Parts: sequence; structure tokens; C-alpha cells
Amino acid sequence: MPSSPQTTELPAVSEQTDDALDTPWNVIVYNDPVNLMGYVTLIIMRIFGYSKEKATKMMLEVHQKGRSVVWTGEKERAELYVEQLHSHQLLAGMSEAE
Amino acid sequence: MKIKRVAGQGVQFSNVSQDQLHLFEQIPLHADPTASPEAEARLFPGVVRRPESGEHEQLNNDWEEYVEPELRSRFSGDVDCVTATLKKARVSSSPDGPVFEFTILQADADAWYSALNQARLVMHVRYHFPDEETPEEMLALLESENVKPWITSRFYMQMQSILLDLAMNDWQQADEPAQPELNLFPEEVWDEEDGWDEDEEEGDDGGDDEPGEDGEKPAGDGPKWV
Repeated sequence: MPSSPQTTELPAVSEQTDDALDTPWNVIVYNDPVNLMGYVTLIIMRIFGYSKEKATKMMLEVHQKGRSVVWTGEKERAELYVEQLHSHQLLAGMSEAE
Repeated sequence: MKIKRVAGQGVQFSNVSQDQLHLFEQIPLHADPTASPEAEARLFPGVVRRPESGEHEQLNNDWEEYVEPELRSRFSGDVDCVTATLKKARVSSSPDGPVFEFTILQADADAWYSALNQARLVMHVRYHFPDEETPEEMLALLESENVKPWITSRFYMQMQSILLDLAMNDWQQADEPAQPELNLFPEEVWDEEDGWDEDEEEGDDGGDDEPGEDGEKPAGDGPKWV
């Protein structure tokens, strides 16, 4: 019986930073030499509800530039997203947005 | 080894040799990061990669205490799923020896992918595989004692790619029919003229496909080199 993380359906999110939040946090996916490009795209689509085109663009940014900010917003939501990314073994983290 | 998607069930592996089954059975062994602190760090990275403040340190500490155990439990369960699937493998005889057949259920595809990924992540660190497969790096690897683990890792990567295409690639499955059957290491060569025929995917004994070199018709639609 799989205990594989079943992706939680979350409402589509906006990349727009909420000005009402004190400190927005970036969710960042980092490049790694193991994860397949198609898988990274798929997981970004599943977790954030992005289109294939948008997720592919982010995946390519990860691949070519070493990292991509895939979401920005409140801290607690950022932690949830990083946990979901880690549960799919993507190299991800969060940092305060500048 | 033949691989095909079975509608409503999952991905069926058939004609699996003893050696190939052994590679699958080694997934739990390779996925275990406990002997390598570097592999542990890769599977369970902190939430803030470069902590620069007390708040960041606290976040990482909380992460280690509350999130990491949950991730460990999930990853362990994924590996257990692989073991459970392989325990159900059916064996039959062939002129070349015993061959095995098993099905990765659709509901188990993510767990299988995860276990294969854990194995590849751990192996990459443990055996110091190169990040960039340059000719120089590959030559050094092929001449090293790590060539066998590297081939195993490549096998796992191929399996991941197949799972991604046949069982996980949501948008592809929604938009276009996946290849109904893949055939790894086939004896027969797929005739591109025949293409794929969705109507004959199930229960077909070969149809109009060209017979293989051994005179047997390939099961289902034409197998494809991977």
C-alpha cells in the first residue's frame, strides 16, 4: 500500500505578493542532477496548479540557472509547499523575499 | 522485458529476467540512506538552505523535529510498496530460464517512482556519480569500480521515465494516447509502418505485427525500443 504523498489539491495560487503580509517568503526549487525534467514539471504543476507551459518555464529556469522562485507569499503556506516539494524529493527551500 | 500500460490497472512488466528482477529487488537496499550522511542530507534537506538568522535556524530545527519524521515515514512506505509489488510477481518458465511478471498498480505508480528516485539520489551521492556527464567524467566513471552501480542507476532512471510516461504524466494521458507497449531489450524490431493500434491493445496475440526473430509474434501492438 503506497504511502506515497498524495498531492493535496490546493486552490490555484497567485504569484502576486500580498502587500498585507509583513514578510513574504519565496519558495525556491534548486537544480539537482538526479530528478528528471519531466518529473519536476509534473510536480510543480500538481502542487501549485500551474499550467504545463508555466511549470515547464520554471523547470527550465531551475535547470539552466540553478534555481527558480516558484511561489511567493505567507510563511506558513510557503512551509507547506516546501514540505510537499520535499515529499516528492525535489531540492527545495524557502527564503525571505527581498 | 516487456512493459505496457493496462487500462484501469497500471503498468504491466512481463518477460522479466532473473537478473532484471534482481535489479528491482535491490531498490530498497539502494534507497537506504542511513550509511551516508551526505545521502541523508540530500533526502532530508532543511527548509532554509543557507540559514542567516536565528529565525532561520529555528525553522530548520522545527523542520527536523516535526516534518522530517513524516517524510521518513512516507519514503519508507514507498519502498515497502515496491517490496509488496515484487512479492506478487508471477514466475513462469522460458527457454532462457525463469521469467517474471508483475504489475505496478496505477495507485502505486507514485510510490514506485519515489522509491526509484530515493535509490538514485542515494546512489548518486554514495558512489560519487558526476553531476555533469562530460566525456572525461564518464570515461573516469566507466573505468572505476562504480560502473556497475551506475548502470543500475541508469536502469532505475529508465524505469522512472517509463512510469512518468505511462502512469504519472497526467497531461499526456489526458491529451494523447500513450504508447500501449514498450519492449526493453526486444529481440524483434518494431515496424514503424504498423504504428500503434489502440483497438488491439488488449488481448491481442500479435495481429498484423511482424514476427520476431524467434518466430513469435510480439504480444499486443508493436513493441518499441526504449
